[in-house]
Amino acid sequence: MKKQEFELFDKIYGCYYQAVRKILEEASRSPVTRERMEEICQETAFSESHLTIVPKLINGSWSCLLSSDDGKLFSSALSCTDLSFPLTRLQKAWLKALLSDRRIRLFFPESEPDLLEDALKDTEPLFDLQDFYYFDQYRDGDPYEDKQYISSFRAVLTALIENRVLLLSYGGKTGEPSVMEAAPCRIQYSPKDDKFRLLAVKRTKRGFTIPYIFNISRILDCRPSPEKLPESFHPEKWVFSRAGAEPVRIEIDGRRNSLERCMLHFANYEKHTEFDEARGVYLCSIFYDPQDETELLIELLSFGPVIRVLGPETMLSQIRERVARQHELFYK
Amino acid sequence: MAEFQELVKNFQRIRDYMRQFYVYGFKVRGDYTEKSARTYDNERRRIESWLSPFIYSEYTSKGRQVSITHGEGELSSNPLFAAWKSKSFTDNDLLLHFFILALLSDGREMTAGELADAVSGFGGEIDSQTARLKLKDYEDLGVLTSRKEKKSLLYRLSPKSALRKRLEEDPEFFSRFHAALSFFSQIAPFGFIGSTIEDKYYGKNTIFSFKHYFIVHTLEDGILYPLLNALHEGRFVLLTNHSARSGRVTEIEGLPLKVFVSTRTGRRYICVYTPRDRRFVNLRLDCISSVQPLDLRETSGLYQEKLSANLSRCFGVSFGSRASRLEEICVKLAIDEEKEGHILNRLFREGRGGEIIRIDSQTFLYSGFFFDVGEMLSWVKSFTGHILDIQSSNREAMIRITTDLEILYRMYCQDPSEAKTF
Repeated sequence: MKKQEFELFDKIYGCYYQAVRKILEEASRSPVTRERMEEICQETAFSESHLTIVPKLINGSWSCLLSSDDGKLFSSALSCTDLSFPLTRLQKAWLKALLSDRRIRLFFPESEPDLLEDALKDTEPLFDLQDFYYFDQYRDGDPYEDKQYISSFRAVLTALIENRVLLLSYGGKTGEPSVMEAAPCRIQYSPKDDKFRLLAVKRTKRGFTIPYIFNISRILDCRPSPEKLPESFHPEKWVFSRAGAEPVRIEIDGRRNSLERCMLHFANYEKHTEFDEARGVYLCSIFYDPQDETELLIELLSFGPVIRVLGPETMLSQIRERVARQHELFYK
Repeated sequence: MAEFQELVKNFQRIRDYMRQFYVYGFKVRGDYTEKSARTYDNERRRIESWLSPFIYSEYTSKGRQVSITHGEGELSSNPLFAAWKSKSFTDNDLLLHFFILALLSDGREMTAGELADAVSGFGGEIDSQTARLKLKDYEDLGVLTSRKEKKSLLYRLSPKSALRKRLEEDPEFFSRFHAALSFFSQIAPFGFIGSTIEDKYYGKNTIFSFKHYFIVHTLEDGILYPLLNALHEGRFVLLTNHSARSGRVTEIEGLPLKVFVSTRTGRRYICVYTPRDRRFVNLRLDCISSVQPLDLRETSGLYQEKLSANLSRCFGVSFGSRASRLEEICVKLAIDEEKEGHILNRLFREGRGGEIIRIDSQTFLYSGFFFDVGEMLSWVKSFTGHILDIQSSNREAMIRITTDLEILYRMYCQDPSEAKTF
């Protein structure tokens, strides 16, 4: 049987629809002002969308969706507080494809994946994970079927969802258990490592003060405490605080397709690139988290001489040391 | 001059500009030569509007550079999904969308004529033919179901599934479902679809962050989808491929068999069997501009089996030269197993099937047979400072890596100017 073909790029998923939906839902609960509509557009659609959406709703071709007595406050003409649409076939097909991913079991207790399976029983999966081959993924990925691992993951997830302090016993690098309390901030996933890590802040006598990264596979035991995190604790502050390290500056001469390779390889880092016309080379600054210094160093070395690291000195001295040691191993 | 529109009709139109802004942030207006300067201005303004928090621009001597940029780990959702949510529509499309959802929300059924009448009651003007087409379209999408009664076709919203009921009734299940969506939207293929489900619930990811996350590849999903369909149907396709190196455009006929994904760069490739050359070849999805399914079909089982047998000989995506001989590589490494366990770990987890032999507590030998030793060299260079010896049946590759290591020494440890003249 021929598989149903979907249109991926469909207007029904568009952010203009989403902005109008939100305006209408809110306006059906209580009247909204023009300013509020503009605000919703900024939150839900693009930065110039309000210039189109709001005039059309107020006095343009979509104005039959709203009503107003004074021209300042607008109510929904539809009086419907939920204007979401049922899951489309495409959305269901995508969800169905996830059910064959072993990581789905991390999120749901035993019977729930069956509920999902049952709800999607008439749906063909959008893709088959067997069709994908992650050829350079590390081989020591997390043990997603391990009972302790699943239990740790779910405890961390619950603590994050419910804003609770996490009590945990951690094996660390040495395997020696240490017991601690921590405020969970985010679960970090790396497709390259195929690992989940918990970004958290350890509690000390002075409160939650020490940022720490826990490998979920090394958590020996953990559970959410009944204690809620203080309202003054903002996880984003710890996770997204901009790395303070000086950027690595590299020069790319373009040989062996090095410009494109570099741009793609370092696409996950924040970077600024410019062309130095006088010397005919590209200068690229790569911003990185100091914790990733060694990883970045290795990546830079893998490019060999088609790039030249210009600084900072800390990075440069490590490269010099490795390159000199290499020369010694080859020739002395 | 036509009024500026944020939305677009064709995805392909924006795909290339977006990719270039993201990957090559250093380009200025004059560097975009494929289309007119006016087109560039429009596309730039559109992208700036879609991605305003991620746009970085500065003036250089050549002109204004515009790039899309973000810090590693700072993203909770892929900002480039914006492209998938930018399809243009007509006034009638939008009006009918909301009238259908509102008027049928209480489980009511309606014909196209009744819908058109109901809309006119609100002061809208929709003819019944337009309403009929939209209802049919939404039935195809799965939003509506229909039944025939006498000569009329009645439409209603698709009934609530057990999943939807559970999501509405069980807040804990909803939280777990939402967390799973937040994760898979960023990690699974076609993640933007998950993001549209998040939109349904006004959900935002506050649980996960991502490392080694390459967001640009969502732009290739429109190419990936017909390739996966062809793969499942055992159907040959005609691909238009733009070589990243030479810029040459070629058409390649092949049978899609597998999607190769690099987790280090995010690049994705379609592995096809090409009858003309009678071999497997991997093509980068970001270099493919069109996929045309052909009538020719073949049972792909045999090719799948052959490919599976060959996978362990691919270090990356290359199947080697046409001669198809396996190449051998042996790398002797100085690693102190007590103090440098992390380097030894790298060897094991990144070695992709190569054999690792412990010679003594300070020395290890990595060896293997692969189709193309050339594509291993970057990885071998990442062990700079530990390589005692390299041997390979691919002489050219050996010369290249030993020369590279020597140039590196001159660049960093001697007079840097000498490096260029080596």
